[in-house]
Amino acid sequence: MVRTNWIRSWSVIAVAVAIGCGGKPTPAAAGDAAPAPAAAPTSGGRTTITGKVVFQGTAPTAAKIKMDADPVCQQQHAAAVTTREIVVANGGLQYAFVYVKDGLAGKSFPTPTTVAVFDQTGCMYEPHVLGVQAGQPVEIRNSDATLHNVNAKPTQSAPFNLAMPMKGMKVAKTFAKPEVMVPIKCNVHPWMQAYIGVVDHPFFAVSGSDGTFTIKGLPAGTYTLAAWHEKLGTQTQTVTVADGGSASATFTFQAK
Amino acid sequence: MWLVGGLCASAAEVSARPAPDLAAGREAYVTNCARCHGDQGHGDGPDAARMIPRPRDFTTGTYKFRMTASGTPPTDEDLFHTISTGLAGTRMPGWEGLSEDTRWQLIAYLKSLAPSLARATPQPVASFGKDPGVKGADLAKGKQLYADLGCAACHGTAGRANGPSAKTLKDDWGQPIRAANLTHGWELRGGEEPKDLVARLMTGVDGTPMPSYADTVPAANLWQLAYYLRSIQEPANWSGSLTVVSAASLPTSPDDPAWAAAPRADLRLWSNVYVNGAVVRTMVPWAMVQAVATADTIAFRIAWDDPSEDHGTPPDQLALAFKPAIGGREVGSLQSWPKPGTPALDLIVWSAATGTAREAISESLDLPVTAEARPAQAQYADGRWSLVITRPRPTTATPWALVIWDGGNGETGRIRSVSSWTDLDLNHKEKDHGSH
Repeated sequence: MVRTNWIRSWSVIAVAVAIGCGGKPTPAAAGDAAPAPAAAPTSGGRTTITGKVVFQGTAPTAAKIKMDADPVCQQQHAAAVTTREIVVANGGLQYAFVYVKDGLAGKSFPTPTTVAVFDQTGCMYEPHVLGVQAGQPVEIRNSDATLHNVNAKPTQSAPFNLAMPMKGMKVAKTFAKPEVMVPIKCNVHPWMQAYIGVVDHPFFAVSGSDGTFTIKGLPAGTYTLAAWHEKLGTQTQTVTVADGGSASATFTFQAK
Repeated sequence: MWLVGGLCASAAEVSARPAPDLAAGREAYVTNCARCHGDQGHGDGPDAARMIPRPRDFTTGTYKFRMTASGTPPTDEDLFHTISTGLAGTRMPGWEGLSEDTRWQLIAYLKSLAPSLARATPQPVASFGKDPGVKGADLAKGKQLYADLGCAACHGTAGRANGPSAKTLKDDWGQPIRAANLTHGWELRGGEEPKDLVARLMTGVDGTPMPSYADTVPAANLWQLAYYLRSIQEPANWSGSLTVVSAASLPTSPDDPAWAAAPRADLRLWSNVYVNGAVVRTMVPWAMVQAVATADTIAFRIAWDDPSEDHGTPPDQLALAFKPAIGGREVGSLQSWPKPGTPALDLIVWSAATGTAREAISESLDLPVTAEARPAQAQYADGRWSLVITRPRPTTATPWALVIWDGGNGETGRIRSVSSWTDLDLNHKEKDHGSH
């Protein structure tokens, strides 16, 4: 296979693999396509859950990140960048991954074709926490003029360690199976750490800078709602919603 | 046969493979592998702690050297290749002495140790591109790619494992890991040939920070990079003897062009200090030595790779040891020297702290105050020390050895890298020219 350009999607590679070694069929790369739905896709409902992830106690002072090992990183920041492990504003905790953990059994949802963008910019991941559906294309971008390696270590889907040496590169990857969370890191810049929540339905959100989140389009039912945080663990609660109604949920994490 | 791009063909060539027999594989494993890799394959055999790098833990299912896509398991052929040829720069030998049937049974057994291997399928890399051959290699382009693709971030500008990210690298299990020194072809685990290097670039080295470039860089470029990497490998000469060249005058600086005429002797160095049964890792596994002599004076040039230039506490240091020509008992291995009752050595000790060298016959590494100063000139550039030391020419072919400390790694005293004894061939040019 002659490569003619710098940007290759994983699906192109996977197709080439499938036809590259004749004789026996090669299974598609794990992470290449969504698993076949077990049941006919269900459309969502009309219910909305809104809520807030609350942080109680004194938030630790976020550590300043030393980027001096790579001038390309350092030069992009006028002021010091801090870690995003525990980010609290007005009592709201950012970067919690909130998702429906139970209550959707027997239902399946179409795999979105919408591309989820996962960028490397200023030697930080944007976003720090991302939610996607299993099989949904994730476009990994490098917006920095330096080498990043995207070291993804899912346990349910195929792991990969991808070199992205040049600014403007884009590579499409997918995570085939649900997994909360898939850790992503860069070994060149050890402060770079992100998490991707992979679920098999569209009912998830990442708490914003004020700690709030919104999950739309749920069918009526009783659900276990979970909030995952990288340092503070996972909390769950049961939420019952009527068709067309709305519900609210508050998760409270204590300072450790 | 092992050819890049020939994976499908080689799979077809391997025809008579036995039906998997886990009991047979287990038996061969216990006999041949368990001593290092552990009875249950956890990489924790009785000899494991004495090794750097440590033996693989087979239960993780993570294998570095594959012809398969990043993150996917090796093919059986990949494992067969590794078992058969061993891994350069490690204690893993080649096992071609085992029958092919036994090696296939070992592979079946190894795979049974890793639950993760049952869940994932090897994804062979579709194509490793076309080898342009030496004639098609564009070294300037390869060098540019080395810079453009960010290799220097870990491997360093000159490939000597001293990039700005090298110190913080960790493996998948959170343990510190060193980038490969790309100039040391002999210790590149997966092989030093361009085809081996292209394979590593395209598959990545799973379990380590080394990523795959298959998705982002055309194979043709990776071949050019690989030929460049091949060109920067040291042309090591492991002769065990250093030929001293005679000359009318001596080169004094490390970059004097006169050194080009002097043959080299390359030495391996290693750590011999164990704490709780585990070997203490030191940072200098290699040095290169040349020598030029006039009728009464000899100059040694010694080069070694060290990821950091350390003048502080502790400093980088080197000792050039000679067995003194004083008769009596001889020092055996330098590894355990000094210990009570062992004979003295003729030592030249150079320290980056002072930039000076002193020589004395000494029973310890702390030279007496009566030690004589020796002219020394050192340069540090791109991860390499280059040092010239001058002393009186020995009258007999005295065996010599090196001891090197990397101060940046906290090495001092017995925490050091040591070579074995090497011959000094003083008669080379004298025979040729009939002097004396």
